[in-house]
Amino acid sequence: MLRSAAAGAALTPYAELLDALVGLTWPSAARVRAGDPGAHRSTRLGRSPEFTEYRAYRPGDDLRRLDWKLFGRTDRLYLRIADDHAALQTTIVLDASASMRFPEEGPGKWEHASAIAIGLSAIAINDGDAVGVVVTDTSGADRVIPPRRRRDILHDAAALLHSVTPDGAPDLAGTIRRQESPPRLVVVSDFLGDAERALPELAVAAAAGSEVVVIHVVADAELDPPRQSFLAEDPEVPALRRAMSDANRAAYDAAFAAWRENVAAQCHAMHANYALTLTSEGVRDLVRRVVAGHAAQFQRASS
Amino acid sequence: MTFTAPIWLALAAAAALGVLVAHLFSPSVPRRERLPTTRFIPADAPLAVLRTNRLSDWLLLLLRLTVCILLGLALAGAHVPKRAPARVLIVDGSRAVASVAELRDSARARDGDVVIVFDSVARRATQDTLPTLQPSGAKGSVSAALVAAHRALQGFGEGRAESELVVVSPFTREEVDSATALLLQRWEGPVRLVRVGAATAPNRHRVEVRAQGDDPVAATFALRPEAVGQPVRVIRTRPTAADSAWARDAGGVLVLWPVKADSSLEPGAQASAVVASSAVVVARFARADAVGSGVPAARWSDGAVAASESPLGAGCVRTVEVGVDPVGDLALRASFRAFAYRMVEPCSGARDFAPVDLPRATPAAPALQTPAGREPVWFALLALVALIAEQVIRARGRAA
Repeated sequence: MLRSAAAGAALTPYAELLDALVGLTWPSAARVRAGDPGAHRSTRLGRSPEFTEYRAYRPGDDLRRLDWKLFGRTDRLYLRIADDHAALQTTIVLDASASMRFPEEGPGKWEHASAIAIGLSAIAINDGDAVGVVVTDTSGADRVIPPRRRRDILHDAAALLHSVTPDGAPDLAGTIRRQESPPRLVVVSDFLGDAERALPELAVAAAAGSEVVVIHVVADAELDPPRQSFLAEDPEVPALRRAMSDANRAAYDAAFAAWRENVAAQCHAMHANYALTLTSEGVRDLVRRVVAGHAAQFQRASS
Repeated sequence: MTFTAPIWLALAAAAALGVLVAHLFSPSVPRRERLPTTRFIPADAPLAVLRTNRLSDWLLLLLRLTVCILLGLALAGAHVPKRAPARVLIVDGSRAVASVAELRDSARARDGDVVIVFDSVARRATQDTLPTLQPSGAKGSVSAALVAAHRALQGFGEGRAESELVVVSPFTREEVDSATALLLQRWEGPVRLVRVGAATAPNRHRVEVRAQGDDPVAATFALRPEAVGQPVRVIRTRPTAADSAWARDAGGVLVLWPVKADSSLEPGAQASAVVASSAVVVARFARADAVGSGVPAARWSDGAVAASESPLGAGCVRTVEVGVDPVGDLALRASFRAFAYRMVEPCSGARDFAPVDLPRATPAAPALQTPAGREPVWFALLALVALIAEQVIRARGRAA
């Protein structure tokens, strides 16, 4: 009773979001490995009522799958083939570096990323998938909630994310590597720390068969910094200080845009589902965009 | 503009120069802000910049210089002397004026003139009131009017020597005293005296005395009676309401001179002399403990008030607390007779409308020193306003 009351309190900030996401599904981009029963088409053909195709009988096939009506019409033996459905374990990795704690006043990138993680977790849980949450830590020992299919994973994830204060420069690339290419890997980060090492690790996971989802979080204040002159300080690299003024604003905009394009291009190259989101964007819209993007990919793959 | 402490101007100028140099040549380090995307800012951007040429920066400089200058003016005691009026017009509104029409015709005020009307006191008036001016029954004082004229020029630093003084009056003896000529001489600018007709005061009233028995005061007035300038009623007995009404409505002089009937006159109540203007009587008198309030009309030799006068409607009441010995020849003495007729003079004293010649004012004596207007407080207030504006503009520049 006590645990459920406390856990309920952790999910209270996301109540409206969870209500808005009811009914959404998050289909996989491709057939998943056969495993626990789930909502995603698996690579294995099964005995579900959903008819897929006929195949000619080969010696050794299960005689119970013969379509006798077709034999009566054609005098040939054919097997009825149906799809099998399996669950898709989803691991969500969140970047808790110091750059995610921006802006300091009001909801920032970390709060935005936390809401995205809870939203995607809820949809995956509703699909019957196991969900795990991993938060990077500067100590190297990531804070992990192992994947499970019980709905209370949402409560635990919310409590964990609420307790985290982004700080330092944790090793996102190492965290990604330690997940060992889960079936579905979601990374929510601003990639301002170590994009050069993290993106290749994502490419490795994708090459190993993981369905990679990259959610790139950008703060509005990073896209449009304050107009008056100021001395900018990098929260992850305190020694890095540069003066921002009207004279170099155009160069800043161009460099930042080019970097974002580069990240997107690398993600597309590894066939990852890439979504850039601003902190001003509604989480509900972003989550729908992500799962809809997967739906489009699934339709293309299955057509 | 004049200054009482010019050294502050030099200090203010030095401070303003320092502000100018600091504004033009001091670099400013902008405020610090956390920005995770700092790495995308060009590395060659300077960490400190000289002041930019924004309009608000020049406005700040202007405000700061203004604050320095205004504070310097305030501390230096700067003041801008006001220019004195072109003319000060003094108009006689006392009982000495014979013709109101002549007075109004002679007293023509122009725009910008300072107008002073006087009788026993002087008061500022406007040129609109002159056409309806009516002389009062009070005795005039030219000296009081001249003092008011001098005070009217206080606070004016410039133009005092060109300010003309015009006095419209009959200049009778009762209006002029020993200070009048001196006050005229102190006037810095030209003086013009406009004489109008003086009133006449024929003494045509007899002294009415109400007494009982052989009254010495009644005897004094009965022996060689003289006419006086105003109806007079001397009450030696108890006064009535009709007496007060008579003084109030008819404009008479009601003299309450109670009988201190005691032929022996206790030693403690005796006095040796009583004085009323130039009339002095040395004799044995009975003396009251207290005399009513009013203008003293007579005093004992020790200075205590022996008789006093109070106005009552159109007339006045004169209370005389001088007990006359009913036995003796006091009533026959010329000194007592003179004293008695002083007690029955018209209200505010005897009327003496004889004209007096006043010397033309030549500013031989030094001008009266009056402190010039000081307005450094305004400079200080303006400096405060400029300082507040500088703070607001600087805060807006930070918030922009």
